[in-house]
Amino acid sequence: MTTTTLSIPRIWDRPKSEHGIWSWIGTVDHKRIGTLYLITSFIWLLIGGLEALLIRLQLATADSTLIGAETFNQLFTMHGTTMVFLVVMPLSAAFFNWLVPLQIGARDVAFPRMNALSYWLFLFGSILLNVGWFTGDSPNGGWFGYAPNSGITFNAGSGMTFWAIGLSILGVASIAAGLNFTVTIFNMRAPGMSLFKMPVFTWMTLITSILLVLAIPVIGVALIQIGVDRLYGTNFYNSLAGADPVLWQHMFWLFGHPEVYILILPAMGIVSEVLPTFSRKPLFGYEFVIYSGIGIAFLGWFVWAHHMFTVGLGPAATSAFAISTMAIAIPTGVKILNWMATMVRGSIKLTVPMLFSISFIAMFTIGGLSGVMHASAPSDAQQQDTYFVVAHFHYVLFGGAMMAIFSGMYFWWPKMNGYMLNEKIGYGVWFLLLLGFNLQFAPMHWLGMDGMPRRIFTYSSDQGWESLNLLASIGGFVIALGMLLFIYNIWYSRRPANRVEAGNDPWDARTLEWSISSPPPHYNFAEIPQVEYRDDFWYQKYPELLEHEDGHPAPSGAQDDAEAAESHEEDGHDGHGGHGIHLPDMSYYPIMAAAGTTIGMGGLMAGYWVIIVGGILGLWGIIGWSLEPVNDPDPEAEH
Amino acid sequence: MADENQKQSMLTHDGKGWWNLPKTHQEDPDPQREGPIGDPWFKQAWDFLTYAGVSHASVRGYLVIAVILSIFTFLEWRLFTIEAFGASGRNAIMLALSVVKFILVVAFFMHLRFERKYYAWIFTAAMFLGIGVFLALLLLQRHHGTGV
Amino acid sequence: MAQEAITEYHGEVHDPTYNTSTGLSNRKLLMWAFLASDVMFFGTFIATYLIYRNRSLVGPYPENVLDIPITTISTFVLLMSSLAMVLALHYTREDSKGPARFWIAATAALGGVFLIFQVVEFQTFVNEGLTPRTNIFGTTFFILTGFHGAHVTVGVIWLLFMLFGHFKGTLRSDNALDLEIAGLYWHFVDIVWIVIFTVVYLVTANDGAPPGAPPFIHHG
Repeated sequence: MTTTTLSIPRIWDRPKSEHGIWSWIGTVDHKRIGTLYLITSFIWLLIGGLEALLIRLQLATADSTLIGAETFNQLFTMHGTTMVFLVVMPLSAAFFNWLVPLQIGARDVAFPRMNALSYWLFLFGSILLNVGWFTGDSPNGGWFGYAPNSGITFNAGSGMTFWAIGLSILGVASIAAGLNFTVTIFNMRAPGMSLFKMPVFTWMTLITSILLVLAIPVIGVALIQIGVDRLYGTNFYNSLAGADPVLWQHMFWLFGHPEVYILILPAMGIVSEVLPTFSRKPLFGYEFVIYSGIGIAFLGWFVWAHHMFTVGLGPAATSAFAISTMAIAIPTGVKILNWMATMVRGSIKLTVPMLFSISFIAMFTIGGLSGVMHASAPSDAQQQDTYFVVAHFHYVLFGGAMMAIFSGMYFWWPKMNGYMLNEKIGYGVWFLLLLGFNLQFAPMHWLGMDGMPRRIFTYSSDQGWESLNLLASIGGFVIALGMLLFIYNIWYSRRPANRVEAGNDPWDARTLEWSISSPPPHYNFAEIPQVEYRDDFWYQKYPELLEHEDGHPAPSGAQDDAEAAESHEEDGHDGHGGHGIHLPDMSYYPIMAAAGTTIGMGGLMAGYWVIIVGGILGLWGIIGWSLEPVNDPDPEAEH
Repeated sequence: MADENQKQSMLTHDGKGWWNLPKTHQEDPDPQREGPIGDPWFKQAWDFLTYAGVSHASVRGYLVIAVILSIFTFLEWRLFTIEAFGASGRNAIMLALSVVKFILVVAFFMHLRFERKYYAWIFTAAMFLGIGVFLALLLLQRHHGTGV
Repeated sequence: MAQEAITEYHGEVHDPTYNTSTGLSNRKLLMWAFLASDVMFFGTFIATYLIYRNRSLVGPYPENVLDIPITTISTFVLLMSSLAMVLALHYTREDSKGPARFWIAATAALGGVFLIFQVVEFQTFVNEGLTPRTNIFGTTFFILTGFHGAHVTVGVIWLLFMLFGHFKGTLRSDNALDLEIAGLYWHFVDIVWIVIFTVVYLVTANDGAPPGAPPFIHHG
């Protein structure tokens, strides 16, 4: 705040370059950080996919000896961990970073340097998580890490310790990001944009951020507990000392179930932007979609024990959790009906993002229905730990979250990069992914019903599971082909010969990010927009539609808003401080603090001198950060 | 009439609900009317907690709160040695005393009593969520038995 | 009547409205949201402690080691540090340099005294045979109170920086928000201790050996 005269001696000057590697290392720009998230998590997607392909190769034939049981354990553990924590969550974070400030009409997030810190912590933590591949000692206790199987007694070696420490670092990154976006969305909206005029994607980001802030500490504590158990021989999950292994399951799923909604709510937000755009209608029942999202987020806290029906919690607890789990299907169903009603009587354009979004609805509904089957406790007892469950959560996470993320990629790629992704190849990508996905995961329903257990590295030929498994493996390779085609699509579309310029608004879309150039300028908005309506940009383009479409405030209310905006402009305040365009300066301290944290926490496994090195680096980063003004030349209050 | 408005604001984006944040800092809402809960008993209880009692926080106010906190801590310590109420009765009283201490620190030392209510809603929402979730967990584990 | 009092208070507190959509300060909102997150953090640890109550297979049990009178004193010290904190904020806002510096220093010092109490307590427990590895009680007790102690340590370092800033002239009445945010964190650490003192110390301090476990005999 105001002028700060304190500072510590600088070894390097504050970064200024706008090109080259240093411009990325020192960046605090939300768009660049979004791109970093996108690239990093896409690479992890390819690695996680490779792990899945190896699993499918092993399971393609009966009695296979292609990879051993131990490697198989490591593969399914790292596949799950990678896809949840290093792919779907950070891909969502990439969209948060890119879109939230643009959609609410801000020039950056509330805490740009903390935003950079989140990314670097994510990057370093994800690398630490995968160090095991090089030491030959990868995590092998499942992405859920059930104790005591993940404890030191039954799982010696460093694999699960890497897992606990790596995930803790990712947790810090997630909490920082969640806090940042909560404050950003509450505080940085353009004048006139009340909460119920925000785009649905921003709303879902807000709900997800709040879930992150509240749910991640729970897994953080569980990871600390298993971590100190493994490193220092404490007794949190040591059954020999009287500990209760069921506690870990509670801790993990207490976090794990809100986490499921952390994964799916951003996807729902993306779909809620794409469907209205290509139906050329406002989202049907905007309030219901928002309230359903809030309802899902709240109910999501009280369903965790449905992962544990076979533990033996007693009939009362089991019934209670069965009922609450079924109840959560209601807000979800409301959303699905709203999306479909959005398309009813719309002028539908079947573009690639639209196709992905429609596939999302279909696949997510299938996954949701098998989810309701698990909610029934007696039925769940049959399905527990079979491939039926694998089919279920891949239908909601791949068929749901990933389809929506691909929809978002094709939808916002022109905004991020300034050129269109080739439409024809895009249809191919969509077709291959949808086909491969169903080939791979639909047979798992039958396999599971037939009793094939999860997490076994092979099965004998007299079980009759061979043909369906082979089909699933073929499906896996079709998905891989689809991914390769997607990469080709990017390479093809960005060649100067094939480049199709996007312009500001290639899809004739509805929200504020389309009102500025593609890619957006460094400062986003030359002038902070004044918002009067929900989907304000759409009504700026088509004011004549105002009277015909429901879901927007009556003109009289709008008048008030406009007047309010005017009167307060007369007072010489423009909602974000009348200081011209003034962006936060770049900084090296976030990456320094993140590196220090990672080295220090990784040092718990190595030795005191590593912790000391990490600690010094981290402290230097944090102290330098807190003494460094946001802007060097003209330090300003607050943002 | 008040109920009508309440319904209006709960169901439509156009009402003057809690999410209708001020568009500019000139339009500060009346802090009395800011919470998402309207006039019913809940709000009365809330007002009782937030606006009744000490009229303003001054140095003397802070000292009074600190004295109350000290007395309560002293009481807890004395209670610990008294057998009269039985173990569960004693625990209940001590928990009640600590809840009062908790609320006093949050309301006065952390100034939540005098702040815009957004802060209070963020914090109390997390408190209630945490209490709900962890009580449910304790109940579950209690019935899970203690043997391994 | 109550309303008048509020108006009076608002006049006193110099609480500015910020140029944000809600009129709230970004950083203060961040701190409150972080405290909400920390509620879940300590909630999980405290829940673990309670779930694992009376499950140790060997001693020492809580009744063998927990010392209520000493802990009452350290609790009192931490409560008084909260008082010092609000006074520090009050005088910083009033630009009374001497009292402000005194109370910031007092807050940090009382926090330090609390930490010394904790270190001595841990040392005593170890001498009596209780380490984090001894039994379930040791594990849950040391990790819970240890993380609380870590929070206090961070708070003390933060306050020392504030004190340094006050001497350097970078902490003044117009940016007392810096100190206010540190204060929010400090009070939060205090209320967590209020809960720990009741739940961990007062409620469970009489817990002896659970059924089937041998009584603890102190050697040495």
